[in-house]
Amino acid sequence: MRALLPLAIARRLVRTASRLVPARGREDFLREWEGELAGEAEQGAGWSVVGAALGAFADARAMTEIATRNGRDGRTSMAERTGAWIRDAGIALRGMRRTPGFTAVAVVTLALGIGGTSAIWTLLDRVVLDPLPYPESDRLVRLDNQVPGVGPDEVWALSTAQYVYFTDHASTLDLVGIYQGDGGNLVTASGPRRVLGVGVTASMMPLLGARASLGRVLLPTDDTPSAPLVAVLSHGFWERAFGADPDVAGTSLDLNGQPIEVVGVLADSPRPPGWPPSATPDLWMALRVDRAGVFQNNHAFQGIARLGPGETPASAEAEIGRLTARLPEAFPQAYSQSFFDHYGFRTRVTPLKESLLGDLSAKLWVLFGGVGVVLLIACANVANLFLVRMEGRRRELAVRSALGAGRAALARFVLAEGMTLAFLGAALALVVGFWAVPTLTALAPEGLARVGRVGLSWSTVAFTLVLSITVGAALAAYPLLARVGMDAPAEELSGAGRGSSAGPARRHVRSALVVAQVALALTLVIGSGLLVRTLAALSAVDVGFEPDGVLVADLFPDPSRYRDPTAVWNLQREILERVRAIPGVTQAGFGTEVPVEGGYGCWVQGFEDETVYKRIEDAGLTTCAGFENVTPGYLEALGIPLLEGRYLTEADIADPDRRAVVVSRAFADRFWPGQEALGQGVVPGGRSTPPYHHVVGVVGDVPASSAEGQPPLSQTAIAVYYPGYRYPPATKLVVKAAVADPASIFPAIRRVVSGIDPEIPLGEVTDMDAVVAAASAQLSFVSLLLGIAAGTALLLAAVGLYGVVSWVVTHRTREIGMRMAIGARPGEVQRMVVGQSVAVVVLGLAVGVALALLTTRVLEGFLVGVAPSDPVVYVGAAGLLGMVALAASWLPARRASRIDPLEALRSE
Amino acid sequence: MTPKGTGSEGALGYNAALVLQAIVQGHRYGFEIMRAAHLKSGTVYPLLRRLEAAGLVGSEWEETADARNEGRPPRRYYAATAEGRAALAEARERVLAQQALFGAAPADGRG
Repeated sequence: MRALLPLAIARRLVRTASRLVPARGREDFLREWEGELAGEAEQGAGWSVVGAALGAFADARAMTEIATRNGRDGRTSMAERTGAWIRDAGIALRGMRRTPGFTAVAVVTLALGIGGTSAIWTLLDRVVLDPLPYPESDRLVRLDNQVPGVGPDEVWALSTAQYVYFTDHASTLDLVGIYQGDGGNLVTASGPRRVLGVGVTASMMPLLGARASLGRVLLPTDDTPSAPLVAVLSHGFWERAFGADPDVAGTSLDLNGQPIEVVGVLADSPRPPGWPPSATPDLWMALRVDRAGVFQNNHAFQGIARLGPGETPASAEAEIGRLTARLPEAFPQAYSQSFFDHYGFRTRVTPLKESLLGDLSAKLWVLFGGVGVVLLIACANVANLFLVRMEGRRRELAVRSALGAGRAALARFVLAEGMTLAFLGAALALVVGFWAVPTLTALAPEGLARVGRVGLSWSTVAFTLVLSITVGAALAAYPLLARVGMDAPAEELSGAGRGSSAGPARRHVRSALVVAQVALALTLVIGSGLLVRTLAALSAVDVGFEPDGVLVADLFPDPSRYRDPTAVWNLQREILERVRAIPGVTQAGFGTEVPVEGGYGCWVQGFEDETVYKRIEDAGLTTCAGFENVTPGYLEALGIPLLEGRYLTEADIADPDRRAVVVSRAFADRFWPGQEALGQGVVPGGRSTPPYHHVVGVVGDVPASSAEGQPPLSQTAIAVYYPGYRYPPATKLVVKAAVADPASIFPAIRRVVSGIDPEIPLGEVTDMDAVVAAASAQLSFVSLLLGIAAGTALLLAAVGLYGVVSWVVTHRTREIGMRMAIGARPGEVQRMVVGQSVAVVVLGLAVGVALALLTTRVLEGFLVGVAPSDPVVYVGAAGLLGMVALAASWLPARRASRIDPLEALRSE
Repeated sequence: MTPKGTGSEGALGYNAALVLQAIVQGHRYGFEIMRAAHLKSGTVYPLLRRLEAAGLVGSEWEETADARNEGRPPRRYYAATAEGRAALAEARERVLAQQALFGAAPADGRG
């Protein structure tokens, strides 16, 4: 007892002195001093130990001095530490070469997990997180109008009145710009050329950051009605059509029969916000809004603006709301108060990026979550493998410990192995990714904003690196925390420590990892299954027409030459006659829109039956309808079924006095519910503007394009089909062909058109099948990726389970041998092995179902025709996973049943 | 770089020589060396560090089994290296020569 107090004091002194010792040698310092002091106390040294302990300070000083001579700041030099890491990594690599099976499985598993996560991260980074390619893009907003009176999701563009008013009076907005697509026929030496143009206000140039490489950009002086017509070329168009002619500025072009002067060439080929890559304008022209002229209720211009300094979309929207309320006062010819009240017209201000992405960012984050799950499963797999491996090397670790390797050195050893594995996996992932990412983005639908720019970038590599380090550290964490090999090295070395690696704690952790894997994999498979059912539901949607073999091509007859309806009809009739004569063509017609792609718009209708107006108003609806101008053959070519009456005929078009019209079922049900539709009177343009057209036929419904956030193919068009002589002219040619490859007749169509009038360009041909598929293209793409993730998760979980069961069998070889030696039959052994894994798998499935119920809610916005808790999907997924798990555990079980009892008993 | 304790010409200092001699004579643990050389811990331990840094002594931890048997934590024991023995031999000659000059060993010398 007496010896305790001096010893305690001495130890206190030594501890204090140890703080002066460089970190690297601190542990050894303490051990040595503690050892000596304890030894002295043992021999009853008494208070002299305190005096001796004082010497520890001098010792610490000496050690610091020596360390300073070796390194720069008294600690181990960077070179030494790096050297230690490299040595350990080298040892790890050599060890891995000796066990190729483990290495291959671990590296591939990690590659799948890390690679998948990095790939989706790349997509997220470029599509969602990257800023838009405009200056100060975080201050850009989209301006548009919500019109709930027409439809709950109805959104209209801006009118010129709004543009003028906001530019003049909005203090929260720096700049306002509007733009409108404006195609044209350019006369070139090689014939007419269809060019895509855009009419913009001069303010769009600074908003988009457009710069000229030749000449100048559009200026406010170009943007007045009295200014001469000028255009700026995009860089790409200048190279393609003008051979990069340096003298193009100042030349004059014939556009739609009008002379227009080229004043500059842009430094690149920008796209107005929201336009897809295929719609990059060739020409930029000034809109020349007439501030002094008559304004109309004409919402045909997309609008953006830049917020003033310190303003937010909310503050801008509040001001815009006040300004919009004054529009009837400022522009009485265009807006009336009753218009606002009736339609609930409201201008909204949305951050531009948000309005461009729609729900795509939500979809991508879901996908990111999905691949994150795959990564977790992969890590669980490898962690299990790694744990087993570390335990197999307990002896090695014990030797190191006995030789004086401190905890830090052992930790470094284990960490080095973990990181080496992770880096190998990441390297493999990057190599695969280099090939896979471009392939995946080629599969991506065109509308996927800015996906064209996605490739393997430095940001991806950096993300992968950080991910690998995290994974490597995580892998090493468990063996380190479990202090594998660090306790009782003596026991380890004498071979007595073997039994404890199968200790209950370790077995539970292993089982827990498998349960987690099964649960996570099930979640992913369920999510995938829900999306698959959605896609199936979408493809089973009756679109109401027959898209197979239907081609659509846009014609662009020069409006100055085809001015009156008779001229247009003569052209149309001749084209149709000749097109119908092409072998393989069964039907052809002209229209203004096509289903699924076309929004049909809102065209106010007038009704002969006055009671319609009251009824509509009471129901809170409007007399808007989707307007289509069609020739005979259009409805037939699309295969829109005739429900009552008849289709339009040539006589209806040739003789305007006949005033026939065909309506869709939805139109008839909305405006004349429960009544006979045939014979009813309707005319475009609003209340009481006779003469009325009379309904001669009722046809089936087709989908209109879906508004943002709506499931595809969910909006039914309220369509009315007027005979083609009404304005605007119907220039969409719809052709039904009964040939194997409908696209093969396109050259024949082109020949027909140019044979009739060589100056009419033909736009691109679209395949209606492709249009319908494109409606759900984004969802299909995301589902594909999620499906790949689910498949990977399933595979990894199976491999993980196989690995664990296999290990258990190997580890219990003696026990199994004994059982068989005393009479257990192979069947019994198999059942025993499989039975134990059944418990784990069932638990995993249960946890997985619970997890899935919680997480599949995030998919709610994308699902069509299936609920997030759909029992069919859950049962199916659980069944699939259960069978896979059974197979994975049966293989090692079979091996167990083949164990030769004598061999087993002999083996160590 | 001449570690302290080895003299300006690289030869062993007196205390360093004492420590080495103690080690060579079989006193292998820090406190044993202290007693054998009649030096304080504040002198002996820094010397041990420097001698080890100079490569004249090496150290090892005793067998954990042995220490465990005696119910105490393992101690670090020191042994002279070949260079150490050579340096010690040189020092011994010098010291004996010095003793001959003075006729007695100095109580604590400066090297």
